[in-house]
Amino acid sequence: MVNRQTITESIRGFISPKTLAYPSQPSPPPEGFRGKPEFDSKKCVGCGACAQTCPMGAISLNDGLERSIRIWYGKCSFCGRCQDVCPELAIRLTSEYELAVFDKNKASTDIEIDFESCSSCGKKFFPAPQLERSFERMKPILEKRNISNEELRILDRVCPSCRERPEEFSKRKLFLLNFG
Amino acid sequence: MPRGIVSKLRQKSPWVMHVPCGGCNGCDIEVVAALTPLYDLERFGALQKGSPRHADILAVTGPVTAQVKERLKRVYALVPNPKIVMAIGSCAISGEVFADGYAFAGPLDQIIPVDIYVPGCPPRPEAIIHGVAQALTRL
Amino acid sequence: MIPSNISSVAFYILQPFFGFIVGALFYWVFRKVRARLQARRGPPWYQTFADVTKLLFKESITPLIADKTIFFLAPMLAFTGYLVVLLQLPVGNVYPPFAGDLIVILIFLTLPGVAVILGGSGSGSPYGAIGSSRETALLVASEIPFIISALVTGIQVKSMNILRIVDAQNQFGPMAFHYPLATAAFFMCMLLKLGRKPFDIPDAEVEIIAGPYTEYSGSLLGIFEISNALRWFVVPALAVNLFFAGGLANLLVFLILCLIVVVVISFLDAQNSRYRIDQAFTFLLTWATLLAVIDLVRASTGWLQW
Repeated sequence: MVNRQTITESIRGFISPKTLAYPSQPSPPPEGFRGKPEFDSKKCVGCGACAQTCPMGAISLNDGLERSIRIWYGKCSFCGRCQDVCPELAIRLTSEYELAVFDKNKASTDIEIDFESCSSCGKKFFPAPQLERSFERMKPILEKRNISNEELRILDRVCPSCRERPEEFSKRKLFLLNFG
Repeated sequence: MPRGIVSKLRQKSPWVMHVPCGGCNGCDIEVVAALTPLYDLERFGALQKGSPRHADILAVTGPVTAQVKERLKRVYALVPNPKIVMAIGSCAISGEVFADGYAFAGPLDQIIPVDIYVPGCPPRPEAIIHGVAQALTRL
Repeated sequence: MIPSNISSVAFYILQPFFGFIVGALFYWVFRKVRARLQARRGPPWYQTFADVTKLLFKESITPLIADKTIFFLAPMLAFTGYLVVLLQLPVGNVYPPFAGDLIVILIFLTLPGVAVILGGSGSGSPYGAIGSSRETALLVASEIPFIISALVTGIQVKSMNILRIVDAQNQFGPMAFHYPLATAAFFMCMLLKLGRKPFDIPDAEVEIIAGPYTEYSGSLLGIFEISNALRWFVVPALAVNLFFAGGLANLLVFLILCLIVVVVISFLDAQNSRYRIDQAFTFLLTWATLLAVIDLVRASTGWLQW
């Protein structure tokens, strides 16, 4: 339909085209854009909550000598549940969106977390930063009851199977009675 | 003509055919949005063509369903060489939400050979243009 | 007989290349103006050359159910039609050694339409068959106003030789001034000859995949694209020669007038949407034919001249 409005809009478009000069100039996405999720290695404690909650199974845990957490963007739907559930806000959805790859396995991010070894049997049983972080959170509660942090640290660096042994078990029962 | 000039000119005129397999159509909307005046693909010589015989680039979106699988293989065979296949969206790469469904026939690279993967749900039109620009170096 | 002012060998070798290069640049002008009117930037100037080169070096697949002879000959037929007309057109101040009849030119301009029809039905696919039937209807409808409006100029000059038509306009004034209705009808048919909206029905992507061109790929499609570039020079050049005094025997003015014709066609294409096949048929057979016939009567009887 040719009428006055289409002709004036065409002429206006002729004089100033509205195309973004995208590949030659960057084009930042709007506020709150759900881009690529990335780890903050200083904050991640290796708890694995993101892996448990991801609805697609895009975040996977691999436990060996150390815990390796991997996000594969081929399965990620950029929903943000990992960001909602992380206790330390260590995984955030950034605004990066240029993710094209030739090999699909390269579209991934890893982070590695050390394990803590048991003080009696030497087996690796728990992510070390998560243990440290839980001690930090317990500090104000312990100070209120005048218990030193050191005692808790010695008790907790023991793997679950070693905790079953009679001498360890009695140590823990004593601690809990003091805790009241 | 020397091979260098021919492949350079080939990169300047990529004709795209868009093949939507069964999906939510989010990625389809983004592919079509890349052809609008805001992101103008015709600056790079890219035209959207209707026939697979005219196309250089096959842009496949959505998870491949059991109904589309054989037809997708036929469309792939219709495209003349040299060609590029782009898997756009996370559904084409791995099936994403639909991976355990009864109608899902497998990730795209188990059905036809794929050259470039563009993750996203859905990927922005700029991300698709970035994928096309990278894929053209392989043409 | 107006003598030629260039050697035959030079003309017959240079004119096809000149026609192709200038036609490719006019096609780029069309795409750029159409893009700008849609508020976006358009392709760069070498786009048509890149398209043609890419297609010529691509694998060409012939379908099993296609008739091989017709499938191969259809692009050649389209190319031949435009090439023969190209070699008979005066270009500004360059007159060809053999300038043919207007009637011969009009007959050879029908060949590409026939080539599209043959290519579409010979390719064996149902989309090709539908495209061919649409192209047949349009060809039948558009030839009448096209031929009548072109013949008006010949009848006025009392000769069908295209050089005499161009020459007579140097004294008589451009035909567009004396016969505006025939010029308008010719413009409408030009939109169809170039395959532009509102008449680009055979190549209607959204409806029938690619119409008659569906099964073509690689080098055969490249030859269709080359003949497309040629027609973007031949058809405006014919319009300028018949109706705008052939550029007053000046090459630069000729090319500028052709460029103005191309820009006007781009405006008309960008503003309109595609007609349905029956709407296009009735439009061409009623309005365009009416305008052309009025001017035919004026030219043959001498009434209402100005």
